[in-house]
Amino acid sequence: MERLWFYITHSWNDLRVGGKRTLFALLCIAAGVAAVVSLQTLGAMIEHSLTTNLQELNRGDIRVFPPGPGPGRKARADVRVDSRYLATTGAANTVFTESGFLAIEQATLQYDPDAEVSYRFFSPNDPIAGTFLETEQGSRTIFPIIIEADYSIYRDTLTVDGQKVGDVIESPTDIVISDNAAEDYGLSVGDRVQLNGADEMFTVRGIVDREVEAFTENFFFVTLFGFYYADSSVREVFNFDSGSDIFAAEIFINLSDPSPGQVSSISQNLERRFPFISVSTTSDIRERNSQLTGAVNDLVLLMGVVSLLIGGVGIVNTMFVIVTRRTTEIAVLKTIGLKARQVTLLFLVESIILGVVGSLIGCVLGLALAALLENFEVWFGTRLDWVFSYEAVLRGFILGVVVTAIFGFLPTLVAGQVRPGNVLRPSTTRLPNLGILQTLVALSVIFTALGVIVWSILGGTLSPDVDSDTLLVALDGSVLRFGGALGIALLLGLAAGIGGAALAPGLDLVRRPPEQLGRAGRSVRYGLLLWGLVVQTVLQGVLFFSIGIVATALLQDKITTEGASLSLAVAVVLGLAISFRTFRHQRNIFVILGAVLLGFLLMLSGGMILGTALGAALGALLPGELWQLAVDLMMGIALVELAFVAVITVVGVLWFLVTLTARVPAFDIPDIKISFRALVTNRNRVSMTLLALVIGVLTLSLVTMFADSLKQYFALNLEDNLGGNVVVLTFSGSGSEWETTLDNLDNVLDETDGVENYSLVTTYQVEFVALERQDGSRLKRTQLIENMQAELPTDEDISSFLDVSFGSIDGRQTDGSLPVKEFLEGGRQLQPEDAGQQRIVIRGARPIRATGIKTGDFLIFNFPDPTTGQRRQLRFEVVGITDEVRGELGSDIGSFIYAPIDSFEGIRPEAIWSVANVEEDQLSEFRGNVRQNVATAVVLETRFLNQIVNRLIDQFTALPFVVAVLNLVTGGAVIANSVALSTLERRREIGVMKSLGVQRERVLGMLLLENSLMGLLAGIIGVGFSLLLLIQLWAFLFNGDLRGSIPVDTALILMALCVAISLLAAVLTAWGASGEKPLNVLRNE
Amino acid sequence: MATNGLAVQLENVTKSVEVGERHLHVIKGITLNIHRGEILSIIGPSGSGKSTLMGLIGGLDTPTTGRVIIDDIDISRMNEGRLTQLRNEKIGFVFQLFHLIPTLNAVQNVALPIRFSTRRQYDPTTRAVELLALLGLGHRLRHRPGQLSGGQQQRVAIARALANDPPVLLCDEPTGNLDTKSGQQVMDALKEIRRDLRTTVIIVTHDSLIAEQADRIVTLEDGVIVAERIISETYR
Repeated sequence: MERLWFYITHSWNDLRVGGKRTLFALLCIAAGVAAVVSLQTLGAMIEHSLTTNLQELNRGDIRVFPPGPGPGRKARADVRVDSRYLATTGAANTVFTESGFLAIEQATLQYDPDAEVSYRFFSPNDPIAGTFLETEQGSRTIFPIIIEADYSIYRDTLTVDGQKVGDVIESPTDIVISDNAAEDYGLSVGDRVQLNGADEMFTVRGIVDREVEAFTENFFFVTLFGFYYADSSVREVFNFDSGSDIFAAEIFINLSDPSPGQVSSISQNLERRFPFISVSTTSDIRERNSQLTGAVNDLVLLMGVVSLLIGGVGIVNTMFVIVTRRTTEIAVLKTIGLKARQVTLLFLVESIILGVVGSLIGCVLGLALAALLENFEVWFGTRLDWVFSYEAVLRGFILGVVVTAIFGFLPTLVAGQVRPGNVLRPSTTRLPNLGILQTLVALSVIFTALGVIVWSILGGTLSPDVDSDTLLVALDGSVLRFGGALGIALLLGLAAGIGGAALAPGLDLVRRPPEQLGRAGRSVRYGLLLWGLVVQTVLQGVLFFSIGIVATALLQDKITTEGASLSLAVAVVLGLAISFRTFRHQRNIFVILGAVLLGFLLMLSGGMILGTALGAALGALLPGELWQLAVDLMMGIALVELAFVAVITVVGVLWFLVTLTARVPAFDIPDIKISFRALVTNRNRVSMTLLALVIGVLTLSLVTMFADSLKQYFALNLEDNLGGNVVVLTFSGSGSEWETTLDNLDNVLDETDGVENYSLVTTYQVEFVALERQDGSRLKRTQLIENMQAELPTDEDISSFLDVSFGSIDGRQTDGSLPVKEFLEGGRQLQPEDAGQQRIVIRGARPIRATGIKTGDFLIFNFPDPTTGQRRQLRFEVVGITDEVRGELGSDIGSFIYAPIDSFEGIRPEAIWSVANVEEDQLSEFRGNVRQNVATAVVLETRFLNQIVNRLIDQFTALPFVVAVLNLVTGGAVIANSVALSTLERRREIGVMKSLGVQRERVLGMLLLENSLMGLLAGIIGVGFSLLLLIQLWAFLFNGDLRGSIPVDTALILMALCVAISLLAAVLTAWGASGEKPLNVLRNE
Repeated sequence: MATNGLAVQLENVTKSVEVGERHLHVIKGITLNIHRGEILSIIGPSGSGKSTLMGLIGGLDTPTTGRVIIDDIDISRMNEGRLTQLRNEKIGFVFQLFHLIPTLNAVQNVALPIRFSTRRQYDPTTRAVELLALLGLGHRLRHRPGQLSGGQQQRVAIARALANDPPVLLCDEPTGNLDTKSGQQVMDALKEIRRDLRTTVIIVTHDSLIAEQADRIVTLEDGVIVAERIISETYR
C-alpha cells in the first residue's frame, strides 16, 4: 500500500513538472476519449429520438399498410388483390379504396368501440398533384401529407410557435409546412402559395419542425424535400375525380387501451380478417428502431475507438520519451533496490494516471462536443436533442484508461529493462531492447486486451456462423463446426506469423556475414536476398505506379493506356534504381526483409493449419455456447492482430517514404539539411506520428472528396443523362384529354424560342404477364424470380426490384434522339423504323439480366385503366438490352423499359413528360408558356435536382464527416505531442546551435520546416491514397472517364490543412524551446 | 558482518564487453581485498576501467570471470533479482551528479531504499530524519533537490546511501561537481561515517587531494592495478 502510494505520488509529481509534454499527452487521450464520448452520446441522441413517443412515430397504436413495395409490406403479386378493398396505382403499388378503409374501420370498432381510425390520403388519378410548390423561381418538389387534421396525433402536433396543427388548419386551402420547406422557399405564416394541380391559392397557417415527421417512415422524403400538412378535404380543391374509389395510402388506428396485449390482439385479428394488409404496431417500431440504434451505436463506438487508437500513438510516443529521459533516474532507482517489475509498475501507474486525467478531460470535451452537434444536422438532415448518457461517459472513461494502459505497456516494460549500470554513464540515454520473447509476450498481452475491447463492442458480428451447414466437415467420423475453427486458425496463424516475422531477423543466417556461414547457409542467405530484392522492388514499383496513375489521371482527366504505360515505365525505372542503390550500400536490408516476409508467411501457414485442427477438435469438445463465446473472442483478437500487421506494414511504408524524402537534394542549404537529418534520425517516431495524421486526413479526405466528387459528377452528368436542363412533368388527365395534353406540350416545345432540342415521353403503369422465349416457352413472374435468385446473392430484395422495373413502360420518340448505349449481344437502340412497332429496349441492370431475358424474346404486359378497370394486353419484342453494369450511377431517368411512343395502340398513359434543352435566358418565358398551355404541367430545372442530390449526399456523409473531423483532431493532438517531445529531446541540440550563434528565428524556422515537411508528407499520402481509391472507383464505374469529377480543389485544401495543423502544433510547442537561453539548456541537459 | 574482516574481495576478476564485432577487455584480472571500515581511493586516467570496476563491486554488473565477494557473499553469478536485493541492503551509492529524484523532497529521497527493502529494519521517515540530522541537514528536510545547494544535495545522497545501513559505500567522484569547500565537507562527512558506523568507503576519483585523504590508494591503468599505496592503517 505504502509503495502504491509512492508510485502514485511520484508519478503525479512527475506529470505535474512535465509541463507541455504532459499537456499534449493528455490532449492525445482527451481527443480520443472525446471522440468516443461524443459519438456515443450522438448514438444515444439518435436512439432517444427513435424510441420516445412511439405512438407518434407510428401515427397511432396500429398502422395498416396495403400491399406494395417497401419493407414489411406484402408484395402485391403475393396476395389476392380484392378490388373492393384495394385499388392498383401502377407499378407494384396498391392503396385502400374508400370501402376498404370503411371495412377496416368497422372491424376495428367491433374490437374497440372507442378506437379512433384515420388515414393518410392518397391523391387519386393524379399521383403528382400537390407534389410541387410553385414559386417565383420555378417549381420545387414538396412531400404532401394529406391527413384528417382532427385525428388526435396530428391535431395535437405543435407548430414552432406553439399552436396545434388541428386548430390552425380550418379550411381545405390551409396548409402547415415544415421548417426546412419554409427555409428553402423563404415562406412564413400567412404567405399564399400555389401547389401544382390546383387553381386556388393555399395559405401557410403554421410551420412545424421537420422532426415531427423525420423519424417516421417518410423521413427520407421529408428531410430531403420538406413537406406540408393539408386536411383531406383538400381533394375538392385538387379537382380529383369524386367518383374515384382510390382513397388511403395507409390507415392509422388509435386504441382506447394502448396496452401491448390489446394492440397485438387487435392487430392480429385485423390481419386474420384482411390477409392482404400488413401492420406496424408500437412494439414493432420499438423493436425495429432498437435494432437500428443498436447498429448505429456499435458503428459510432467503433469509429470512436479508431480515434482513441490514433490517440494511443501519442501515448506510446510520450511514454517512450518519458522513459528515455528518465533512464538515469530508473538506473538510480534500480541501484537503490527497485526491481524491474517495480519500475515497470511505477511507469504503468504514471500512464494510468495520464489515462485517468486525460479521459476525464475527454469526457467533458465529448459531452460539450455532443451538445454542439445538437445544432448540426448530423443524422439525415434532422436536429437531435442532447441527452446525457451515463453509458457513453462511463464507456469513454474506461476505454480511455484501458487503451492508455495498453499503449503505455510496452514503453513501461522497456523501462523495467534499463540497466542499473547506466547510472555510471548518464550521458548514454539509449533505451534497452526488449528480448524477442519478452516482446512477443508483451504483444500477446496487448492483443488480448485490445481483442477483448473489440469483442465487447462487436460481440459476435465478426464471427463466422459456427452453425453454418455449408462449412461442416467430417473428421474422425464426428461432425465439426469448421466456421468457428476459422477464428482460431486466424488467431493462431496471425500470431505465429507475427512471431515468425519478429524472430526472423535474429537468425544467425540473417545476422552473420556470409563468410561466417557454411555453404548451405550461404545459399539460403542468397535466396533470401534475392526474394527480398524482388519484393522491395515490386513494392516500390506499385508505389510509384500508383503515384503515376493519380498524376496522369489528374492531368488527362481520364485513365488512358498511355498514362498507365508511362506510369508503369517510371515505376519500373525508379523501383529498380532505388533497389540498385540500396543493394550497393545496404545489402543486408534485403536479407532482413526477405527473412521477415518469409518468416511471416511460413509461420502464418503453419499456424493456420494448426489452428484449424485445434479449432476443429475444440469445436467438437466444447459445448455450443462456450464455443461460440470462444470463437467471438478469438475473432476479436484476430482482428486486432490483422490491424497490427496492417499498421506495421503502413508504418514500414511511411518509414521508407520518410527516408526517401530526406534523400531529396537539400541544395546545400544547411537549414534544409538539418531538417532532413532530424526527420531521418527520428524516423521511427516520425513514421508513427505520420500514421496518426495519415489516418485522420485519410478518413476526412475519403468522406469529403467522395462527397464532392459525387456532387461534381452529378452536376456534370445530370444534364447529359437527362438530355436537357429542364424536365416538364404533366398528368394525362382522364378520358382522351391526354392526347390534347401531349399535343399542347409538343406545340409549346416546338414553338417557344430558346428550346434547342427536346424529347417527349409517355409513361404507362403496367402489370407483367409473362416472358415468351423465342422457342415458344413461357415464363411467369415466379419463374423469373427463381432465375434471379439462382444468379444473385439471396439477401437482395429481388421480387420487389422485378415488380418495380416491370411495373412501368415509357413511350419514347424514335427520331434518333435516344442516347447511344452499349448493348448486350445482338441488341440495338430503337430506330426510326421501329415507329409504331411493339418493340422494347430494356435497361440491363444486373438483377434484370439475371432473369435470363434475351434479345429476341417477347414480353407480355397488361395495361389496366384505373377508371374503367379494363385491361388491354400487349406483346413486345425485346430488341435490345443495354449494358448498364458500368453505368448504374449515371443512368437515365424514367422506366427500365421503353418502346416507341406510338406503339401503345391509343392506350391512355399515366403521365406525359418531356426533357428539353432551353437557353438560360428563355427559361422564364418557357415556364410561362408551359403553364398557360398545359394545365397540369410542372417545370423542373436540373439545378434544383442538383441541389436535391447535393443535400442527399450531405445527409449521408454528415455522420462520417463528424467522425473524420474527430479523427483529424486526434491526429492533430498526436502531432502536437510529437513536436513537443521532439523539441524536448533536442533541447541540447538547440542549445548548441544557439551557442554557435544561430538566431532564434532560424532555429524556429528549422523546426517549422521540419514539421511542415511532415504535414505535407501526411497530406500527400492521405489525400493521395484517397485520390487513388476515388480514381479506381470512378474508373470501374465509368470506364476510366473521370470527366473532371475528381475534386482537385478539395484535395489541395486538405493537404494545406495538414500542413497548417502541423505548423500550428509546431509553433505552439517550439516557440518557447527556440527562445531558451543556451546556457540554461546546456547546464540543465 | 564479514568474518575475515574483509568487506570486499575481488579474485582475479575480468570483464569483457562486445563493441560491434570486437571484444574489449576492460578489466584484465584484478585481485583486491578491501577491509571493513577502510577508505579506499581508486584513481586512474579516463578509460582505465574505474567505473567498470565500481559497477562490478556494486553489483551493477557481473564479471566475465573471477569472483566478487561482498560481505562474505559471492555475487559473481547472482541473477538480477538477487543483485537488486544486495544493492538495496549491502551497498550504498553516491554519485558525482547526486542523482536525487527531483520530484521528491530530502526525506522522501532518503526514505526510498527503506520503502523498497524486503527486510526492513527501520521506519522510513524516522530513519531519514535521523540520517539527515546526522549530516547537518535537519533544517532542510522538506526541501526538494532543486532547492538545495550542491553540497547539500550530495549530503542528502550520502544519507540515502546509508539508509539501510550498508557495510559498503561506493562513491563515484563524490566531490567532482562541488567547490573545494563543499567537497571537503562531503569528505569530512564520509570520514565521520566510517568512524561512527565502520562503513567501508570506496571512492573513485580524479582529484588527488581527495584521494590522499583515503587509507589506501589503488591506481588503475588499462584494466589492471599498476600501483597501490597505503597511507594509514588507523581503520584496523
